[in-house]
Amino acid sequence: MGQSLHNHSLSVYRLFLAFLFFADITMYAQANPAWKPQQITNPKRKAVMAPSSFSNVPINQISLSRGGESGMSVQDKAIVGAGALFIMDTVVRKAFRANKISFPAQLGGCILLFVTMVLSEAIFPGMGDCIFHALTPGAALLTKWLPVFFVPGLAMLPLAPSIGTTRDVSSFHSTFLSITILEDLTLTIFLHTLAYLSIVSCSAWFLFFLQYSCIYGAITTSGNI
Amino acid sequence: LSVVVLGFYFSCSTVAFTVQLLRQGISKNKLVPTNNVVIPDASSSTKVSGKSKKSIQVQVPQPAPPSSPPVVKQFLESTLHSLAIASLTSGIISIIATRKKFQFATSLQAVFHFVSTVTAYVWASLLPSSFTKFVHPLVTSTTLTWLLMQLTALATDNTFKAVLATYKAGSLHWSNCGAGDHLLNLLGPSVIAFAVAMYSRKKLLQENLFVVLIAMLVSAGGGLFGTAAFVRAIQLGGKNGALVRLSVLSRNVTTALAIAVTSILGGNISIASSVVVLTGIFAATFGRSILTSMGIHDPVARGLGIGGAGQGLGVASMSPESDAFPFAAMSMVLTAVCATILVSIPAVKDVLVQLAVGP
Repeated sequence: MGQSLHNHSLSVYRLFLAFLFFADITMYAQANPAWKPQQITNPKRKAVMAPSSFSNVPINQISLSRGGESGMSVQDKAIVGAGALFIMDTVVRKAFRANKISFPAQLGGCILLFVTMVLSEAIFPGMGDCIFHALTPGAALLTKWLPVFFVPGLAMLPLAPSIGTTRDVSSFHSTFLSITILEDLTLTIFLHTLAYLSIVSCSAWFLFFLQYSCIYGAITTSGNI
Repeated sequence: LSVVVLGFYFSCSTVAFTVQLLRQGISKNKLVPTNNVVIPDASSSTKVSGKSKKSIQVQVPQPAPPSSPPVVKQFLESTLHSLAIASLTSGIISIIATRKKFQFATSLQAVFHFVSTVTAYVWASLLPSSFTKFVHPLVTSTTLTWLLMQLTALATDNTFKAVLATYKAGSLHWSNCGAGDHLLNLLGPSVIAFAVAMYSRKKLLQENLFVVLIAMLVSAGGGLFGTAAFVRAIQLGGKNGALVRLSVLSRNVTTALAIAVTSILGGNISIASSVVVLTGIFAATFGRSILTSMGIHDPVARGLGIGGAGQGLGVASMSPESDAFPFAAMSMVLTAVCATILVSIPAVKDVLVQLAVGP
């Protein structure tokens, strides 16, 4: 009973999301030309452009359906793409959990998808691009809503344990605090100057090691304080 | 706050300048400009500040500043209108259900919080750009969400913290899941979607692989050790603040792996998550402006700098810059992986803990 209700609520939730995305895309596509399929002045082929945030290459040069004659609208592709990414996330998460892999599934999924697309393209030319074009509208949709998914992390801050009162922090003498902040700023400015100087005189590696020497210096200083 | 602000500034500047330097070094050796980097006219040259200014004036290939796209609102007024109606309706139903102690009151409250959070974000995004430039829509929407929770608490004779506790229960079970759980559930596919952005610039990534790897080391190593030195210097948390100090070391690592890093170091996960979120907000609000003010216009340096210092939210804020965005995504992923690997090495972990806490 509980399980069926759980499944039911999940279905309702997914339907609601699909509705939300669909309604939003429809209205957004009407107002924003970047989301509309754009016609290229090539009489032989119609081209669907990827959202500007990802690519400015006509999608169907390496098309989802050969020749770019996909029956799906951009809105449909966005929903299908977002759905595919959602399923991918679920599958990867379950696979990681089943194999007791403690690595975060979302990052693992990101790496896996990227590697899959690159390898597919290398082994079967055109396949990686095909996956890319199939997922691009969905990815753009999720990227658009991405900041909302960070709200819970911020909203839960009042329930987080205290990181110490102002008094705790100021128990370390305020003079030393000011000196340390000034030191940090000076260090940063010094690093910037070094970077600029290195551009004209030194090799990149020299700067790299110099920066870490500075960090080491800062570490030693803080240890002494 | 100083850890968040100065930490971001430190990580972002070291990564961005290292990348810019490396790229200029590489292009100098090859004498071939990299793709997608616009070489300005011969008249444009970089003057070096300080003493060198007098004697050195060299031609350095500087990419053009990223073109500022016209401000296009992501959402429409009609979307906001529809969502506002949905919020109001679900809010009334939720309050009635809670007061009547209806069986599905928690689920209805979750729906209300979900819709209201989305509505608040859409409303915040539609505010004038002069406001959103300084206050990220995420901050505005979170404040509105808190306000709505306070109102819900008043309407249902509950406390604010009790209502807030239902927002994220840490479970997707219908009986107790909250709106926060659903929203966080969508974060996974969004992070996976970064792979699509990375693939769109795979050639550019391939050309800059060495630079990307160096940036990863700078952001992960610099972030961990730099933060450890700083928190010890300011004696964060007081004399017995070891737990707090170890918890903030993962400030520039994306939340998922920041939890893993903090667990390995023996810190507190809630504190770590809070610092990571605050860093992300700072990066999303001011990251691009800071990079521009520092004179970093190279899309590769901008992307790697933000990704290495501002994690997920920073990456999201780079979406208008199509060349920088894939690098930001890759930098975020690689920084997180590298930081986790570093703290997994016992010797590195010991040094880090000793540096942050002291003998």
